[in-house]
Amino acid sequence: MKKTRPLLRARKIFGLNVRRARRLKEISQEELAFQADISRTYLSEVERGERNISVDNMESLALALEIILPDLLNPNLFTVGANGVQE
Amino acid sequence: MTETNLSNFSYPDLLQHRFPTFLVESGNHGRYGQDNPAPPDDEADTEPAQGILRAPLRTRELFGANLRKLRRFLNLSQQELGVRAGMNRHYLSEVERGLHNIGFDEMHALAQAMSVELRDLLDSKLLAVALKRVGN
Repeated sequence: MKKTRPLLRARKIFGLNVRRARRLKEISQEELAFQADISRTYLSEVERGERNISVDNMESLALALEIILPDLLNPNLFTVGANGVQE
Repeated sequence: MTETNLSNFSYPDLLQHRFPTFLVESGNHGRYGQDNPAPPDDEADTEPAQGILRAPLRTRELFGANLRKLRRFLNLSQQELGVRAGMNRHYLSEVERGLHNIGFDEMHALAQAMSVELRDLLDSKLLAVALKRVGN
């Protein structure tokens, strides 16, 4: 079944934010996956927006990254001057 | 999305963040099981009873509560929203009570069906803004 565009975009935004937040913390996929109690392969697919990740796993990732979940869904999280980043 | 220099990026310490809290009955932490059956009427209010304590609200419960709030605000029945988002009423009722480990795609579909972003349903401040926006 073909997925709609906005959905793929939303998944990608989440995945990219996870990847950037992880790199910012300077931890490997292995480490983050361990902390969030998911497999590295799964995390890698989530970061590429290829997985329909469950709400509980999203919560674990947000906790492990120390970033609240609504922010991880914000396309402007890592954009300068946007409201994504709190002062 | 613009790539930016991440060295200046800072994020508030999580310890300082005020996590959403939820009033639940002492002991059961808001979850339903054998000893604490779910209310028979799926539209029943989930108001807590006496003898309450504050417990952290799990994301799925926050999502469910916000979903119900927005749906009622828009005067949609579970049936109607279910049809729009492509899921059945019983599933939706359980999602609203935080009983399902719902997937990203389903959450996204529900948000889209009510013309909000998914993150609006995961944050009380964003939800308040969204309620104003869809209200007029």
